Amino acid sequence: MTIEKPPAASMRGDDPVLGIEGLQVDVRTPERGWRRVVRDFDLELQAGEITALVGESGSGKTMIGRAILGLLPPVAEVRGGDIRFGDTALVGAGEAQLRRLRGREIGMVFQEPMVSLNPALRVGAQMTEALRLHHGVSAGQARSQCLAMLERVRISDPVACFNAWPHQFSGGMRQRIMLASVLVMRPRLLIADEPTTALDAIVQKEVMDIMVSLSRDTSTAILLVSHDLSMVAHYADNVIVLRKGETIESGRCTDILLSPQHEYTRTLLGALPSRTTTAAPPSADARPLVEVQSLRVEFTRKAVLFWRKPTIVRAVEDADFSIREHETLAVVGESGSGKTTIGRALMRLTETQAGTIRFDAEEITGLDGAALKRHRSRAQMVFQDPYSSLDPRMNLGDIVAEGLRNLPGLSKVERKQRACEMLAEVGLPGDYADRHPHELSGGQRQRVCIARAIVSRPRFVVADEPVSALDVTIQKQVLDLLETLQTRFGFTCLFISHDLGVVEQIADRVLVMYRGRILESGSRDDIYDRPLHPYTRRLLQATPRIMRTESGGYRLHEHEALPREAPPGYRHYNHGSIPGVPLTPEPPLMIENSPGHLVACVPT
Amino acid sequence: MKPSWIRVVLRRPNALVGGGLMALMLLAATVGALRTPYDPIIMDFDAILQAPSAAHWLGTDEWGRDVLSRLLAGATITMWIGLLVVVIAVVVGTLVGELTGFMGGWTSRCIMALMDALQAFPSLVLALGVMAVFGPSRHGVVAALGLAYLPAVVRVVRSSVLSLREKEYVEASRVAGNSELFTLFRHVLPNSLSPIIVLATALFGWAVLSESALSFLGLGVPPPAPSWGGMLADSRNYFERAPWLAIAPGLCISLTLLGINLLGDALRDLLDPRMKNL
Repeated sequence: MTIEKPPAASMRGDDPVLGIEGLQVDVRTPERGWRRVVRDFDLELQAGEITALVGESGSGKTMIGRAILGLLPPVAEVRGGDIRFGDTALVGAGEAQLRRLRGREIGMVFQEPMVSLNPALRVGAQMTEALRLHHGVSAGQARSQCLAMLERVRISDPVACFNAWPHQFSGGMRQRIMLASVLVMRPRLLIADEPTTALDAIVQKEVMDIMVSLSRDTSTAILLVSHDLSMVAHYADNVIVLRKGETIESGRCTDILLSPQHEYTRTLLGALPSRTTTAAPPSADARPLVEVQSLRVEFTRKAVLFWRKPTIVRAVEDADFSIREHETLAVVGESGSGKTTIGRALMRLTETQAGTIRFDAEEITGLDGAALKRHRSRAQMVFQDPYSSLDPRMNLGDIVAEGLRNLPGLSKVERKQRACEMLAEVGLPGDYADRHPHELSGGQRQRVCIARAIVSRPRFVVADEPVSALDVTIQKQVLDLLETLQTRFGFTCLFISHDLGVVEQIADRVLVMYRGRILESGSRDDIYDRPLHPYTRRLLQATPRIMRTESGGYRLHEHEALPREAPPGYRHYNHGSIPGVPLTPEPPLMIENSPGHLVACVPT
Repeated sequence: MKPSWIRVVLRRPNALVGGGLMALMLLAATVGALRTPYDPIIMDFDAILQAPSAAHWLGTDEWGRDVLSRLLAGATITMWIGLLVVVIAVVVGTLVGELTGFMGGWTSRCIMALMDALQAFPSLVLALGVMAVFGPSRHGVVAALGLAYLPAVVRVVRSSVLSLREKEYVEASRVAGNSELFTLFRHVLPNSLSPIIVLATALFGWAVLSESALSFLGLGVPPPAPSWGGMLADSRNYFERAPWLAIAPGLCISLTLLGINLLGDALRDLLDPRMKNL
């Protein structure tokens, strides 16, 4: 299904809101002098239009957004070209003039909702501040305008929100508040720099929907800066593809998607994860390697006042699942769903409060000392953040060799030898063993993490969001590497991710989690094509996807799975995962709907 | 091609200047221990408060003692006290900080409570108390100042360990089956070195200054043995008539502090593989 976008509000051929011609931005580097990070950049943005800048990290997209506002970092400088906002030339404009435009005429939404609101000021105070400063309205007027705007970003109780502190809201809510406080100024241009990158899929969709519909109403032009092609394709009218500061391709979004001209754009689109017709997953009667029963993990959070009882947060509750030998089981869910906790519990990095975990038919929850060491030589982990998972003081050879330290009967030389072989195996041959982590890119670091994990030939690997910090093209390479290595060394994998696209590519079976509970589990095709639980459906619908067409182009893909009833005699378990439906207080049962496809239900 | 560390040092003027100054001071301390132009202790009432001259390069003090000789002899004492205080506070403080920060638990909490109690006293007052118990002596000064600066080191180390503890490479080491102690010494300690080095250099400066303060109060190195702090303190009464009495030890203290701070910065960078190519 292809989505028809409403035509942009202004096709009247007015002067553009924003015009950029031949923009050049240079950055001063310590060793090589000036380096150009934006080259000959052109842009024309009409009122009510959404133009997206897409590119991988280092493409200069953020620099362009910042150059418009005159907020380049101190090491960067505009070296040529012209930025016009309406009739005003922004390059060379004085600080006072820029300040008048910022906020009032040009709004900006940042990536990190957790830090872009001042935690020491109430929401209302922050919102009205700019309004009173720029528009000179009275306090009462400012308040009523802000309340109206909060309502428009679908905050259920605007008055309460107005008087609340930022820390009382989740990331998605804060981003909505941010959006409201920017749009209440009625800017003519909104610069949104990765506005939803830090948010989960469902929240991302909500925030983007609100942003787009609001800007259409007020005919605000939006410059959307993002690395996410699928998201951009769903929302933007025009797209500009950037690489290393150069414009690769620009035009209508649909045109570029349908018939990408440039090789690089095709690479970007091709790197988007897609379902591959892999060999049939291990047969259902394959032996389970990991069996988890009624697993419960709790965290205690200390009370603010020391005489109060600490609160107990159940991160995982009553989880039952098994992982068969050689298969990849993916756990998906938004942040706070408990997916990472499950992985850590299997590695014994987190204490469990109840339930059993059997690894190769051996109970591992009580292991310690030598037995725990032995478990850790069979089970390994790849971490999420390639920037903090490698010791900055060690070279790569030593880092990987440490994975072998606790295997008996290996000399230091042999360990180093095998580490070097493993590094070559993940595509880092030769002298890479002597380099340090800071000399590597994110993708290379993640390769080192993978090498470290599988150098001891473990039977089981937990991969916790291993590609979520990487650009799409790198992400594809790392995923491919992981799959190749899995075929080669035959390890079983627990793959934790919030990205349904990635999971679709790599998983044999999928667990869907929400707030500590498993809601649905089944084969990949069951989950993606025949989702049972409404939450799974919502998750799938919120994930923007681009599908390849037969003609070699691409099209937007909206998930079409129809809502399905719970198995007869049951209704869907709901602990907040289905909005607008009464909660079911009783604990859920996992009911098998079809062989291997289970869903959380409660009896009617 | 020169060995890489020489190139690295040459590329950093900090290291060169800091190292040079410290080498000079250590040389002075060595010379002071072996031989001085005049005896630094014996008084000469014919040469009281003389301005710098060919006979007394840096003049004489109110007892007629040669300032240069006292400066050299004082270097031995001052450097020795400064270094010992730093070594004691840093070694003990680092161990305590690393262990309490990494292991957690009740023992750690008790140790930290003790450290907090120590820190609640101004370090000089604490040192005064210790000195009052032991009576003025060189080793008393070292023990008192070492103890007084211990909580600061423990705090800094512990806070850096607390943040390192959450790093994924620490987790990764655990997953590899390494013991907690191995992980601590292999991954956490080396990565918490930067703040420790910076703190150690600052500590040296504080130790020299505190030693002079203690000497001034009559609780430091007992007279007539010379120390820079003591010399500076004694010069106060004659500042208008004999400014060289203050300038000479003051300059020595300042230059030593400058040297060790520059050296500390350079050392921190040298020990960090991330800075190698800069």
